[in-house]
Amino acid sequence: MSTREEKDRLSLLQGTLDLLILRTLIFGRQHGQGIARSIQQSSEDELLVDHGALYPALQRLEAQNWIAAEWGVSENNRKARFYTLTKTGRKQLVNETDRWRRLSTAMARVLGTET
Amino acid sequence: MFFRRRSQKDFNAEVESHIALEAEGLRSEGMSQADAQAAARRAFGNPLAAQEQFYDRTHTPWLDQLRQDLYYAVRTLRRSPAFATAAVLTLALGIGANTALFTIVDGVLLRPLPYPDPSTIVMLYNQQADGETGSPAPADFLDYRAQAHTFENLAAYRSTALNITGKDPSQRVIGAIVTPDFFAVMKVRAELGRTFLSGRDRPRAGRLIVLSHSLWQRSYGGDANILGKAVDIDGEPHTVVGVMPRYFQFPDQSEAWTLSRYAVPEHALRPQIDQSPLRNTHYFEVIGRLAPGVSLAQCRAEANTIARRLKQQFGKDEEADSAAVIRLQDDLVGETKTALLILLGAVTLLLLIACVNVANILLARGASRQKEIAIRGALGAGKARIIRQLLTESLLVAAGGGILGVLFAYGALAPLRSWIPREMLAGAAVQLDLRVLAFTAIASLSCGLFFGLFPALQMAKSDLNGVLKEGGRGSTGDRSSQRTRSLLVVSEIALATVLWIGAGLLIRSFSRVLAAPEGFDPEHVLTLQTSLSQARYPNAAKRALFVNQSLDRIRALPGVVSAGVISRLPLNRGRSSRGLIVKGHPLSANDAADYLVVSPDYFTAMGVPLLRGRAFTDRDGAVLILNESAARRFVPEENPIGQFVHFDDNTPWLQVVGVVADVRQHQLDQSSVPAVYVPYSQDSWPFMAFVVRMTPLEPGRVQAAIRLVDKDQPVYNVRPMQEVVSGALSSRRFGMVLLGLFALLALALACVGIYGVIAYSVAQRASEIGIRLALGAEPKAVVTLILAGGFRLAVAGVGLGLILSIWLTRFLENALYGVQATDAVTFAGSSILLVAIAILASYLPAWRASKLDPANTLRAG
Repeated sequence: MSTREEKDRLSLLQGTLDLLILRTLIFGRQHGQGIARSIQQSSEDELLVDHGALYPALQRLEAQNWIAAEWGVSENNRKARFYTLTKTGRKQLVNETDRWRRLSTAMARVLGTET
Repeated sequence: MFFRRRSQKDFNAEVESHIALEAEGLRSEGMSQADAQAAARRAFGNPLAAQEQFYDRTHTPWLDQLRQDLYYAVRTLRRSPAFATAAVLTLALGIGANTALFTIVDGVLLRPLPYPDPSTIVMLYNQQADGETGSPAPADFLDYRAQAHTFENLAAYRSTALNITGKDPSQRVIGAIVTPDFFAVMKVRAELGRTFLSGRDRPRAGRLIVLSHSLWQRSYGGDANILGKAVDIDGEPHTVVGVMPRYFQFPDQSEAWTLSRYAVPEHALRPQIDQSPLRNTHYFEVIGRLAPGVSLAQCRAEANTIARRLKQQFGKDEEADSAAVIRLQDDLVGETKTALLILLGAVTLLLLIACVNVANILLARGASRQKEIAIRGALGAGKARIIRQLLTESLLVAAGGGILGVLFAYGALAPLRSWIPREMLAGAAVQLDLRVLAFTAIASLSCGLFFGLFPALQMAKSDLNGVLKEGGRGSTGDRSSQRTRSLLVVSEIALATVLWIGAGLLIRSFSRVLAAPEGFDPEHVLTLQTSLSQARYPNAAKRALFVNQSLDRIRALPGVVSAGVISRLPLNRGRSSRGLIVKGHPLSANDAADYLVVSPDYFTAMGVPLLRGRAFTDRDGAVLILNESAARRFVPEENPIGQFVHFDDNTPWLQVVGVVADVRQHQLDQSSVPAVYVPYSQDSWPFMAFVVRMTPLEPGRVQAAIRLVDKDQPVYNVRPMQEVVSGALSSRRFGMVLLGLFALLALALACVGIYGVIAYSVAQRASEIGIRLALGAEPKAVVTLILAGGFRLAVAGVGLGLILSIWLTRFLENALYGVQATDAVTFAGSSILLVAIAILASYLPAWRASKLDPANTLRAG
């Protein structure tokens, strides 16, 4: 499914991966690979998710109690570790999304409209 | 991070599952199986890196390394059990001694008294211009109580013996006569009933008594209905109003407290007379509670203002020049503090020596471990990591020493507790508890750091290449390590010297005290005390009758040489003194002498030599006997016999009939004070001590003889005079023996230290010595050469020790008797001993060196 060359893709800004994971999980529980794939698809393949970097982020979020994890079985009958959004995670998502929107609007203002 | 710890396996499984899922996804998009697998792995990056990251995140690396280090340390120590045992035992000795002593220091000096807010309880004393303190006079006490605002409460008490009569056999307990405020000052409530109340329990309101928990349990079986019952004290009924909690025994292990009939405690000799207006008699203690927010300094200032005002107001009649206010805890601890601190200092020195010794062994071991360390370094261990590894090892040794030390201390505590003089304990409980364990833990760890750091730094410093190239016989760093070791041994000898000099000074003091004439002959003398109650023996004639009849019966016993009584037994607490005026001699202000009442045979019974004149007879009238000091002081240039003396203008003139030798009346290590003896027939005191010279000592028969005279009269403190004397020496003996023990241990440790260093240097110089021998050196010369090394170390150490001692022994000054703190004999003796021991310890390695086979050593070299 690599329709684009990987070097063209955007690397993620520091801290944005956390937000994206939380956002992805709002649609229900998901395993790591599913999260990576889902981010890539919903960004229309613009964003590159380094699969190796995904797991430290998941651990971080788990440590902060924003997501919870348990082992389950995927749709194609594979054992996988599924993550769900917790209550505090939901709150965090709202705050972070808001912050991100403000940041990107501000950035757009400074950089000016596309020519 | 506070989440349930995830295992590495679990994480690895997740990574595997991710890659599998990704590969499956790619395959469903049309990739081949192999390509999909590879692409999935590529997309993940390096799974090992992710796993390592996970590991680092879930593990704290230092903890991990610590576990490694510990494991490694245990293995290393197990491989050299001799070293481990020596090090742990050495430390355990030092730490054990420290723990045991700290337990005592903690109990006596550091733990607050068990009363509420103990730091605000103070004792109030009179102070004379020369700094002597004494208890305030009754009228002074009442003035302080009326005028001082810095005290919340002020109370007076007098410790006394109470005879509980009406029970069979009649019992004698230690108690106190107190003013109503006493318990308000202590702020301790009764466990049952109530204490005395200052508002309600007016003096004269009938006699009341409060019992201690122990007396209540022992004599009344813990009777829950004891309140309101009557207890006969010296034949007089007292109503029980309360029982105190178990811990409350102030003052002096009291078991009962009675309320005085007057505003001040009753006088022992004249209980029927209210002493309140008097300013020239002193027989009770004054205790107070600082008012809230008042500092000790403020209280002192006010007390002194009042003292000065009283002095102005009453002039010559007021004996106090100023006042002293001392915290109760400081007051109780008193001289014990110095003694305990000296011992604590000594035991700290001992621990230092133990540490130095272990450091020394570690250094020696370090030399042989250089190759191992070098290899670890070559394999990539950083310097810090190596130091940490070595420190872990020494901390492990320290921990072992600490644990074993606590066991030692625990074992030593029981004998120590029974052996420590009671006056040193000041009523404190001594137990090994968490506080003490915390102390030991800190002490052990600091030891581990202290003795481990040196060698660890030394070893980590050594040059890897050099060591490895030389095939493990590395000489790099050896010279400096040898220098460090010598330095350690020198300091060890210095510390041991200090301990020996300290112990030596105390031992010499002790022998001086023993050698000083007591003024009496305690052998074959039995002493017994009685206290005649006012109710049953109201007048002098009755008391005299009891004493004379008892003495007659005692004299009739087989084996009794002579028997007498005295008002105050030598070497017992308490003193009575009177001012003294000699007819025809000018008055001088502070001429007081001990006042003692004796029966005619007291001097022969106690073995006090008569120097001039005669002893008393049964028919003596207004006469008295002086001791040598009194004769010298009051009638210096004339014959004292025939002089007339009285105590003040209201007492009759008494004629001096004899002079007896000075007796150590108060303490063996106090020079004698002037004393006068008055015949019992002239002043029959209610409390007397019987003194019986007999062979063999048969206390039972003497007690039986007294019981025949009055079966209800309790007799107590039945003790051979020898025991009284050794009791008076107990504090001194305790300090001396402990310090001596520490000094011996220090000597043994120093001995081992010197031996180790010399033996090691012989091993290092084996080839050099081999060459010397091969070139024809006499074995004797080799011995001399090695001994000279030991001698040099010893002289340096002893020199350093002497300098330290000159500075340190001043702290011993108060504990010394008859020797200077810089006593030349002790200093010289200790120095010679230490040097001799050092040479002795070097002799074995020296002898071995002389027996080296040159061929062997040269080949090995």
